Amino acid sequence: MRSRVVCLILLALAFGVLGIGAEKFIVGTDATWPPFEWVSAKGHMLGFDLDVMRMIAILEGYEIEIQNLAFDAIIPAVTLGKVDIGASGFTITEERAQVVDFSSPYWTSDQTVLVRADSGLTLEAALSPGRKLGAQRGTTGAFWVEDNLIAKGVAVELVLYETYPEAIMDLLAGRLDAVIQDQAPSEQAVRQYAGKLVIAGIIKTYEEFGFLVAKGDPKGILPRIERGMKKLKETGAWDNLVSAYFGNPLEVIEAAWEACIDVLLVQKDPVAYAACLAQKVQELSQK
Amino acid sequence: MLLRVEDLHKRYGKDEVLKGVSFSLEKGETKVIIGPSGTGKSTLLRCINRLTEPDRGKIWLEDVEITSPRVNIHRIRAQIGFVFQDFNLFTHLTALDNVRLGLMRVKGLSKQEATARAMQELARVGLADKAKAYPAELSGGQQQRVSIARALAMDPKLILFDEPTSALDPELIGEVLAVMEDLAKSGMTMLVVTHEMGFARTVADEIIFMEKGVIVEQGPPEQLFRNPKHPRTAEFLRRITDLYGGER
Amino acid sequence: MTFEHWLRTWSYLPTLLQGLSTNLAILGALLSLGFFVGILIAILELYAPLPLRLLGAGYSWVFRSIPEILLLLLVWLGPARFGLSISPFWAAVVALGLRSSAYQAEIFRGALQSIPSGQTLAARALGLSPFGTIRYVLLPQALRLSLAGWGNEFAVVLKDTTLAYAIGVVEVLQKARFISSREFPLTFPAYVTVALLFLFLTYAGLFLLGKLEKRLRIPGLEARR
Repeated sequence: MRSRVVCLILLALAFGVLGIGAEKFIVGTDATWPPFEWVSAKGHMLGFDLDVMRMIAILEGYEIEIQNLAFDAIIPAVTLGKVDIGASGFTITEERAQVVDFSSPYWTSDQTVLVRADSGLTLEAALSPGRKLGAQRGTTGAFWVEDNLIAKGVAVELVLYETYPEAIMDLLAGRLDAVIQDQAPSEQAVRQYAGKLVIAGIIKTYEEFGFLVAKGDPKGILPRIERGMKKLKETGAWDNLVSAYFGNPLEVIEAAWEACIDVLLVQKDPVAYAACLAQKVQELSQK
Repeated sequence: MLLRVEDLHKRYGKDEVLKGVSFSLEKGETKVIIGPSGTGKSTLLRCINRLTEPDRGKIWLEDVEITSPRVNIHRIRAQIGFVFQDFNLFTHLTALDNVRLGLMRVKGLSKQEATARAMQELARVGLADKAKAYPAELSGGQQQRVSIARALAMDPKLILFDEPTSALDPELIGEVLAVMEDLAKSGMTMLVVTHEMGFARTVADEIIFMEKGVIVEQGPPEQLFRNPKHPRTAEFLRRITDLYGGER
Repeated sequence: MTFEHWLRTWSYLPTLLQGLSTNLAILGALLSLGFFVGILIAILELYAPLPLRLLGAGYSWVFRSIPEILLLLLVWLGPARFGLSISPFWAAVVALGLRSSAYQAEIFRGALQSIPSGQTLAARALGLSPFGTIRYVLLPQALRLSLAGWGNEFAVVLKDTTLAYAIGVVEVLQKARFISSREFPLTFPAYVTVALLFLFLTYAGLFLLGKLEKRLRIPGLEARR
């Protein structure tokens, strides 16, 4: 009897030690940007960025905790060590690279100009003097307008918003002429406001997204992220993930996610997970 | 000797309010201090329990020098009762609680002991039926009587009265003076600052006349009223009797 | 916006209420912190020797000057510089609580000062120590006199809890943002719903405070303005 108790205690200690031994990194994100990161109707945090982070964590053998933050609080939190990884659709820019280290680019995007369908505005007309433009605070869309229009003397008015949907609301209400935002969220908006919005044109900015860590990468996370991404691409998991997350309605992605997530978190098989996700999304889209 | 005050000085800024006051009180004596306003009578009273700190001078309560820095002033104050012109009852407490507070929190009595003692004193001042009333529900005269009960309940060696009836409507003065007279007759040692000449004449063992920070004259009431030694005493008494009347 | 949009928004009510419970948790903790520290500061400012009085005044000044968002960020990020860590929830409680304490101190100070000084004299004359005077004579009155000002503080601070989103607390307004970014047309209904929730909470809080005031009322003890 006593030896069994001792055994149990030792076992518990062993698990405890293992628990202490497991590494944990905090991933900061602003989950208001589908399909890269958002919160599902059931309250789960999902998105392309977040699933990539989860998958790499499993491949590399560490744990992550995803923390929601205001977008412009993420980089300060990373530089001060409160957050280890920033994964929130960050465009790699020189200014940002001065205070953080980026992974190699994992996505390319351009800015789009979103207008009301009945306004009939073309790209050039939307960006001409006298127009009122909206963008989310702290995003490269906002910077583009500042650097390429306002700084160059083009008399447009730029209104900044806390979140992208708020900008869309003003656009629909007629208080803005156009909203400048990355491609994927713009496509979301067009889909959700069927017939009311249209993409007037694409501004080729050749932006690349990267995951970010503190300058100098003190915890040695970047090499592991690179390794992870490489593995995901080699195995085809990456492509599956892309086909699942882009170009599909959010409810479909959420349903697929709920069906497949255990493959990732319980069975710890990222490749199978991605395959499951892509397949489920396709199934549900056809209904 | 119960109280001895020796050469008390107090200055406020440039104003020297007490310029060397000395007197004493025996147990059971009632002395009344009279004099024009602003002559330091209230200040004198407040120096005796060190609510105001004198600049110079010594005070003894029985054989304890209470002006010494080594003395526990809180314990001393618990032995000296003080009745204020503005009553200063605790607004948030009933009459009973007002009287009980010192008993429970300073003397450490239990709630039962404190209640019994407090009710005793409230009865003594004729307000047992107002035990549960709040100060705002009492007349000025009633509030002052509660204030006296509050002082009495502490079993003080001496009670100081600072113009106890000056803030009262005329018709309420009588009830307070009656209580004070009873107290004096029962053997309490009292030092009273007042304008009530009738009271002074009837109840005091000695009257002290103060003017401009010094004691001008002191003596038994009849002597002061009939044969004042000092012309200023005579003048003051004449003026005050005109204003306030004689016997009440 | 169609009626359908409103209906869909209200299907999210459970998650909004869950977020609201976070606001309420922050509120309760921060008001308690503000209460006890506020009384301490008020007493320091009125009755302590000069160096401590200056400390109290300085404290009030600092916490009333810094914008709340900045305070939140400083409290959350600050400890990291010294190798310490604080969770977003507790950072919000500390930041907003200390700020509230500065305002509550002002309320208590005003209340304490409105008590006639003669009562302090009477208490001392009985033999009560300074501490005893504060505890048995001044505080009971000051607390009652502070109730009105306290109601104000509650209404203000309730709104401030929504600022905690900036340091990562998922409270009700953040939940509304999640809903809005998932379904853009629900943006306005979601925000209006949150506003209604706050209207309700403020009313409820002030109502309860009013009842408390009535229960504690003593004839003759009213705030003198």
